[in-house]
Amino acid sequence: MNSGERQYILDLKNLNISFGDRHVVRNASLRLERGEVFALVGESGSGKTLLGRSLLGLLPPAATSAAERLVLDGDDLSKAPQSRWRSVRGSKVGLIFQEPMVSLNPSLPIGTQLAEAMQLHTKLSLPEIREMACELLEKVRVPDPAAALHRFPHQFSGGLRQRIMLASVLLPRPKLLIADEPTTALDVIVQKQVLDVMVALTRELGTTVLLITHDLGLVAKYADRVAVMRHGEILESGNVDTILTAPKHEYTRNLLASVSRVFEGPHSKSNAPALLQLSNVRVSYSSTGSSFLGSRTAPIEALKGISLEIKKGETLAIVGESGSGKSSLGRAVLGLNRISSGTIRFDDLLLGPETRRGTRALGGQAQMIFQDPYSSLNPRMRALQAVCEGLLQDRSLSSAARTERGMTALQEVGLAGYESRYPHQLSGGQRQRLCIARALIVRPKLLIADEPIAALDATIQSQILDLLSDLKRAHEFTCIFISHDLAAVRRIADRVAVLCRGELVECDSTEALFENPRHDYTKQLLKARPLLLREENGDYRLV
Amino acid sequence: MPHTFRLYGWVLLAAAAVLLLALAPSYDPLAVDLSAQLRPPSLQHWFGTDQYGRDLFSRVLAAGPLSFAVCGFATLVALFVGGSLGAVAGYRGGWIDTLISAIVDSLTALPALLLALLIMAVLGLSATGVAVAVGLASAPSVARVLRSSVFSVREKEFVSAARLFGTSETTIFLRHVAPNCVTPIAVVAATLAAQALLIESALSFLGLGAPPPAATWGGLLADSRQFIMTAPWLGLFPGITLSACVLAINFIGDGLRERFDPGLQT
Repeated sequence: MNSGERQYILDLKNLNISFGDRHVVRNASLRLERGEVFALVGESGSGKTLLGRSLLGLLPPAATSAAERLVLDGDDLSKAPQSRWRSVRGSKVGLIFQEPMVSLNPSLPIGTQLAEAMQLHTKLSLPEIREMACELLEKVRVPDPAAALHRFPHQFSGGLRQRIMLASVLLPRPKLLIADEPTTALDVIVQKQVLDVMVALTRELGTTVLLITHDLGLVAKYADRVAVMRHGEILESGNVDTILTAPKHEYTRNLLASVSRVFEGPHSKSNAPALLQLSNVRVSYSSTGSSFLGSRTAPIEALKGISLEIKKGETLAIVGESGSGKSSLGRAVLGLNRISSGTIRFDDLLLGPETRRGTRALGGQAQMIFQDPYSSLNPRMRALQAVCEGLLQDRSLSSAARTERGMTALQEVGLAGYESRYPHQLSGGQRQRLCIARALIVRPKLLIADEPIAALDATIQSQILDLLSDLKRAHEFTCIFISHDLAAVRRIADRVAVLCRGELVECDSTEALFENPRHDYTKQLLKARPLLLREENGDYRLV
Repeated sequence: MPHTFRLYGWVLLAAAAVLLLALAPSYDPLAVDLSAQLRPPSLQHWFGTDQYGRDLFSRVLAAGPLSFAVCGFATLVALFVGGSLGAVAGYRGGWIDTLISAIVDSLTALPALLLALLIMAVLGLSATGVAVAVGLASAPSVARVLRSSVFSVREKEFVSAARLFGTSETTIFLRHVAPNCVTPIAVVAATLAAQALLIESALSFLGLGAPPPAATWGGLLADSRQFIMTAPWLGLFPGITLSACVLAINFIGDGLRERFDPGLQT
């Protein structure tokens, strides 16, 4: 072994993975230096997760893989049998999964789970392992580590669980840590805490990290080097700074352009009349599961007195973490949730807590785009049928006229030629286009988009945002854009309202809010999510 | 494609069955022939004869249509009664759901056969009575399945989207909810049909089926008991036929599940 090989913890050359004749990873080569944070970026389906799994010998049984060279810490594992991988996993390579809710065993106390790998790979006694576990839990900032060892996973929050997971993976001191979208399932502020801890701790221990992610903002903030993957191929790799400032491949440029928004400046119409006025709106949910043996729990207040005004033609973004009440707000405006007190004035319609069929009273003037394009379309309706649904209420239209308007609507969102497809024959982005067409066909005055891009890949997100702005210009509707994605908000919104635990903490024009946030929570929210911004000279700046 | 292979296999099997029937010597299932009592299976009498010299093969065949009619009708009754209860409970929710679920759950606690016996006692002895009893006894399981699938579809966002257009609740149910519940119901229906066939046979075994001399599989099995040592074929052949039919209906259920479950649900 010469010194050149020694500096690489992982040397992977020409890895191929295929399912039958479908090649999911093609000639992938990677070299990871000791102690670095290496990011592997790509959209869903790019093969990045499979590549990560192959470094643990954990590919699904249907997959076949072959690598010219797979040297991990000096051991050639390219032809290693499963028994050999078993000794590598845990002790040399650790893996953190995306979903902290399911990656810890709910029926075992975390101390037992932490000790498991140590008992397998070392001959240490239980008290020794216990001491090491405590020490590590303290390092990942779990409060009261000694007591925490006896608790069960459900007693910890998602962020803490992911940090405990991190401690359990790092306990046997692996040389390489594979973090596969470790924080995607977490809220932005928690996300930052987990990643900060992870990067600080691995640097301290000298562990190399392979960070698999789709988020270029995270890459810019945490990684030393990066490789960009698409369709199973590694397009380019290098230092993060080099790739971000001078991307060679066009795809990388697209990816960068789609996450880093050029600030367009406010386009609000400050003198327009108000379309929607909320005053002191409260929404509470009582537990509806009332079997005669179960006890009713106290109602949960989702919105605690919100007053807000939205002007005709503007785009108002509502931001906040999950559970902040942003979706409840949208559904209350549409009459899908009943409000418990306060009033909502929509144009010249007044809706209060006693209004029973608020949705019908609105008569289709307010429409919604939902987060999950999989459950917002009826799986048994073809695209044209789905788009035309809103027109069925208007009995004066002939079926030919309906079809014609449906076709125009499909064309408008770029789905011409897809009219006889079923939802499962469409991609996520296409489904969301279909939902947009369906909502806009009745020419609503208000469109509420509830996390419309959260379930989509970065480049598709960008296309959907563009489509929304184009359509808004063409049809002049008012838009409420509910999102936790500050980059998207910054790009599309005129004004931003920040919700925290059911209360409106700040509401200001987009520019003012981003440049000069006043409330602590807003500041925290803005800091938590690393944002790439393109400056006028073409450089990228991390905000 | 394994599916098409399997399909050809079934077609061949059905063709063979038809051919066999055409070749089989035909007898009147009710014709008594005291000169040919308790004959073992032979070329003239494929399944042998019973204590009155009636041809068992013809009797087993003759019992088929009645059993299947009862089982089909019972399944329809179960789908209608259980289906409406489940749909109302799942779609309306609230106190109606609590009430219906309480009734349905307590009925599920009783074995279906016991329930059917109880209903038979009220309805009296007739083929229609059997069908209604078996149907009502199986209705709770349909209600449960439909309730839960209506409940999950009702919460889907395309239902909210339809509501935003001002669509009426009845239209929403018929256009969006019901079509998406067909799959689980089809699967349950197949399972129920097999179960209904068994319950129907059990009832006629107990003497609560179609009255003699009409042949039923359960009745044939009951009659065979006294000759089990001397003429075992009397119990064997109706038993095999009944098992084969129940198995076949279960296969149809499995097929429906395989065909519909993965593709359209995602």
